[in-house]
Amino acid sequence: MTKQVLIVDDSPSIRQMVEATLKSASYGVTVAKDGQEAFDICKTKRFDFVLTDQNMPRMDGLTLIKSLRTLSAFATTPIVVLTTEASDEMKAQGRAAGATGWMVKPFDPRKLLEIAAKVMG
Amino acid sequence: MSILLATIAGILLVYFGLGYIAVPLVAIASWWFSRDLSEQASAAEDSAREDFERQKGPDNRHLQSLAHEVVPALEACEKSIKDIHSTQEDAITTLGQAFERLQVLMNRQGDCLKALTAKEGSGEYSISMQDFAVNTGVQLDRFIKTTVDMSASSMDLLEKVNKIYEAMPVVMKALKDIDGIASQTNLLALNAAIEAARAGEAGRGFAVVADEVRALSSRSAQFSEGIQKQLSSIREQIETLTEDVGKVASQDISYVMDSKKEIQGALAAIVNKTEADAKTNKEVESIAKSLEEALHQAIRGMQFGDINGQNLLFIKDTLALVHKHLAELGQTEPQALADQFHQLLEQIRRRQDGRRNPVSSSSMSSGDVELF
Repeated sequence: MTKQVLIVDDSPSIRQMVEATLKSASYGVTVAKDGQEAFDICKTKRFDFVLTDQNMPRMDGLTLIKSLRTLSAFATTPIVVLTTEASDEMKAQGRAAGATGWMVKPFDPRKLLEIAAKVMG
Repeated sequence: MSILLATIAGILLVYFGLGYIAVPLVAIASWWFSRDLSEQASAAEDSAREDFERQKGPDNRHLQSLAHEVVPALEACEKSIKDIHSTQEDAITTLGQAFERLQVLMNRQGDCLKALTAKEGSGEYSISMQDFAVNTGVQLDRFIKTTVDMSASSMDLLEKVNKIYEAMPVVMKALKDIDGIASQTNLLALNAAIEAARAGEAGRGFAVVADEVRALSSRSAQFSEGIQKQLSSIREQIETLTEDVGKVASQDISYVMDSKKEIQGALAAIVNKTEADAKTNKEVESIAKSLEEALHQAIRGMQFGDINGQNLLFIKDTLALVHKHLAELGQTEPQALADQFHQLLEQIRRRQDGRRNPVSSSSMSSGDVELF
């Protein structure tokens, strides 16, 4: 069955590029433009992998991760943060919030596919 | 004071129609200013105080009016940054769509090429073509061998038929001899009958024998005639047979050899072509891989839109804060003005502490990846 991935980013171009990359590897892709929209989608749909930005309007990535971890369906779902933030402090916050991994932009499509394959293995 | 000097320089450049230089200059100055603010804040404050302490009333008003004049320039900068951000996002989206379409088309092209050289079952198309060529060659050889054998057999057959045909006159002559014997026997019987008649009563018995001998010679003449008729018919049939077998035997089978050469040449060309196709296919596959890598590079490069976008928004917000406070400068007393500047710097510093620039990268090389 096709693995389902949720992409959360406020930048349309990043959403588009991540979507194209994942679709080229035959993943099913759903997009959300901020944490709140993503959280609302996750209340009714399960995903095999969530890839989220950190800085977004309405709800940021760390808050989204904390919120998702309260849902039983997302207790163990891999959630990777894809952000321009690279400080150890932010990474520590991400880890504490329950993130599975941290990718710093710009992402390399091949690496993104490797990570996707690894966390959904 | 550096921001003030830079923005004043910016205004002058705008006045001289050099807005494109002024905007980035002010932006860079303010961004640099805000980024390094924590270290420079105290120095800037001290410098501002000293300046104000040295200034008297009319100079302060002049400074205040200059500060107010900076406001429209800052507004223009904010608008420009907003425009840059939005056009950049548009451009990146368009580029992204173009590359996405390129990727889809590349995949379709790859599928088409695969379909061209694909074959049912497993294995390579070129190998199955080779097998076909070899099999066809073997079948052709068998066919030619059979043809040659048949040709040789028909020559042999013709020779044998000819021998039979040549034996015919001998048989015919033998039959003629038999005819001669029959005729002589008949004559002999006739003479015997005459002699018997002359002998009278004593020759009566001999006359009967002479009649029987005549009857026998007549029968053997009839047999001979029948056999000769049959033999004539056989000879005619043998003549037809000889003609037919001669036609078969004289068939030119060299065209079969020529055809074999032509077919083998065509097969070799097909095999060569399929081998060349296989090579081309491998090359196309490697090109597709390189294209994919190039696309990945493009996708990585295009993320400058998002990264610079966030940078631009951060600069815009910083400019908005500076602009807001400069616009609110109202006091003309040196100490009050200095206090207001002091408050502004303090606010900017607090903002810096509270909300850092979210962008860490300064190049487009791939960012770090860490799995917890």
